[in-house]
Amino acid sequence: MSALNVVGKFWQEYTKSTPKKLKIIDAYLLYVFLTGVIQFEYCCLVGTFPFNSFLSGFISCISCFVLGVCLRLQVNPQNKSQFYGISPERGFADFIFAHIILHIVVMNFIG
Amino acid sequence: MEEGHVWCLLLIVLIMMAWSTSNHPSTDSYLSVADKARFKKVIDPGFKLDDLSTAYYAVIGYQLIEEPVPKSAEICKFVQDSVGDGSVITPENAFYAVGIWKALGSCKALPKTAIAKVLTAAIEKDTSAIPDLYFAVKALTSLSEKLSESTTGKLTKTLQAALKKDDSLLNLGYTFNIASDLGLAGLFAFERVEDAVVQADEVDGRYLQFEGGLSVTSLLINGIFKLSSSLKKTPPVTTGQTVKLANYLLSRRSVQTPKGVVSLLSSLTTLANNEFHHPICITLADGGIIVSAQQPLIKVKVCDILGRPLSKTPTVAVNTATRIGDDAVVMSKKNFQASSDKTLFTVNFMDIKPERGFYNISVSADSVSNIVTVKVLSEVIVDYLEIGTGDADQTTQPKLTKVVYPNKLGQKIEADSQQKLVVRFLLKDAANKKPIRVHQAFVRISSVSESKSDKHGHEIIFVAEPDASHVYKFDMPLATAASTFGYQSGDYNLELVVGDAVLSNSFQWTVAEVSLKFPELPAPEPFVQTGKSVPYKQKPLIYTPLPEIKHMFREPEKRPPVFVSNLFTGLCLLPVLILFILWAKLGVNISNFPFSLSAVTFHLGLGSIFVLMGIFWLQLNMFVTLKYLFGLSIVTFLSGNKLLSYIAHRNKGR
Repeated sequence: MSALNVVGKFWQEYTKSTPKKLKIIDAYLLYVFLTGVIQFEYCCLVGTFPFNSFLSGFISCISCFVLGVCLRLQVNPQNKSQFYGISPERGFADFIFAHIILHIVVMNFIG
Repeated sequence: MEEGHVWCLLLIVLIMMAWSTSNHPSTDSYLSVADKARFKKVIDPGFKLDDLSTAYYAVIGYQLIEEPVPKSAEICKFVQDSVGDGSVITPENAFYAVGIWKALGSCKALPKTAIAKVLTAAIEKDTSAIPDLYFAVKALTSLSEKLSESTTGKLTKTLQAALKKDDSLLNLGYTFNIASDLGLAGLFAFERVEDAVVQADEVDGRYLQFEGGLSVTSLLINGIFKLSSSLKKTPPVTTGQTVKLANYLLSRRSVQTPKGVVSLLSSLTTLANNEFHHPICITLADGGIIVSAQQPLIKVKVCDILGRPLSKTPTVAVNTATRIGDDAVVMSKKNFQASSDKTLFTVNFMDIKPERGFYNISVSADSVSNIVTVKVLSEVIVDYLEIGTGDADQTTQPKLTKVVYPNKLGQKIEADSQQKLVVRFLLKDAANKKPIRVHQAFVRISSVSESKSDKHGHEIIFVAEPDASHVYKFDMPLATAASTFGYQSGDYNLELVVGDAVLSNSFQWTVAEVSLKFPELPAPEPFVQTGKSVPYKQKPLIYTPLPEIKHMFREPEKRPPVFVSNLFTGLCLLPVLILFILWAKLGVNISNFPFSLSAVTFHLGLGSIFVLMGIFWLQLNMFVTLKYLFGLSIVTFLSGNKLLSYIAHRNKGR
């Protein structure tokens, strides 16, 4: 079994058995991840100046990714036993709330 | 046996020889006439007869310096008035009154019996303090009243009890003085003398004093020596200690209180007149420190500490005379000649032709010796002095003119900024014509115009440096000295100043008038702000305010080209596109969107919160933002809560 086969198998499993909600969140995570990568590349190629702007942008990406992962964990039906009593809607509300707080800080720091 | 005797004798002889040749130190000073005059001034206010104690100090002070007491009739009347009938008088006042009465000797009789009764009562009282006992006993002795056997016994017991309680030096001093009036009954106190003497503090190895200062020291000295003479026993005080005590007392000659004066005088008199040790003073006679060709005699004064000649004229001799610095012995074993003044002795020191300098001379008078310091002066002569100008770069020999002391050079010497002013001179000892060096050899250059107009303005003093052959040199290149003179060209007087502690003719000699031409004052450099490197430049003698310090922000770095920035902005936005494509592929639909009020409000609220944050970034401050955010978030929270619970219900219901 080659590596390619493994990836192919994994992809099939993913498309078949993952709920649609989670796929939407995964797409969001990919978006955030790519944005972070591009910012990091910019900092490597051009420079960090102005440093606080770079930091706020990059940290914003990381934090969004972390929050997204948290939401994904709570929404995933396989984790229901661990998050008993927390509905996906409640998770989403938390996600929104955390984002607002996060972006106040980011905007303040961006300069 | 025989041999043992011989050894014993030999030992005794040796000890006696050692004893007879051992030298005791002398004091360095004595009570001079000037000191006595000053003491009189201190105690004179007592004759205003304001109170008994100051009057007592004045009378006793005059008696001690052997001066007749003025206004004795008035003093007698004052004493009589103070005593009254004698039945109500404190021991202290009785002591003063009786003291004055006895010292004057010419007053009418005091009410003796009444006073004696009061005093005896005070002595016999167990609770009397030691000072009161002292005053009472002394007053009774002055009245020539004998103490009865029983009173003496009681007094002795009271004193011993008091000393057991508090044997301070002050109390011991009073006790010795009391005991000296008790005859053989005072023997109890004599045992304590040694205790007191060992408590004396030595200072610098020269002074011996008792803690408590002049009054305590004086009280103890009087007590110890009077007690010893009343008992006819040698006090346990060595000759050296006596001399040190006398040194201490003499060092306190500047005392300013009447009581201090009397303490000092009485104890010095006791030391000078006692039958055990007589401190002797060997010192230089007034102004005798200088010895020169004109005044070749060393004069020493040998006297007792009150300035009186000794009873037996001593043999005064120079033990050794050594030069300070190299300790060379220049004179030894030479006798002084006595003079008409019995305290003055002289020796001719210039006989041996000593070199100029300071000499320590050990002088002995019989068994006492002391070291005095004299200085031998010599005369300096200027062997030659040359003055002139030379090229500053030393290419040619300077042109020099000789000047003879003490004349002034006839012509004026001119020097310009390319030249230097040169002075050379040699100093010699007049006696032996050897070149010498002096402590101070200065060249003083002062402005002629200002010295005439009596304004002490421009004068500059330079040091002339001697070389190995003792020739003094002074070179002044005008170009470098210009700033010292402030670029003030003009006529100046050049003076030579020669001084030394061992020269008898230190002098200041105007050698010549010089005309100095300094280079022009360089124009001050324009004040240039030189940007980054050094923002200002300090100029000599120009005081300008330093530039203001301003806060500097970090300088911005070079920004990347606009194209690169824009490219990456685009790249950052690209993932949004990817997100929407992915979502579209996954089949996100908004068909399920519930078009209720809460849903619309929630999305609008959320959107406006993010817009608000954008505005916060661009222009608002934190406080305004938070105020708006508070309102928006309440609305969004309420509507979001309703929406989400609705969705949750719907999902459950399905």
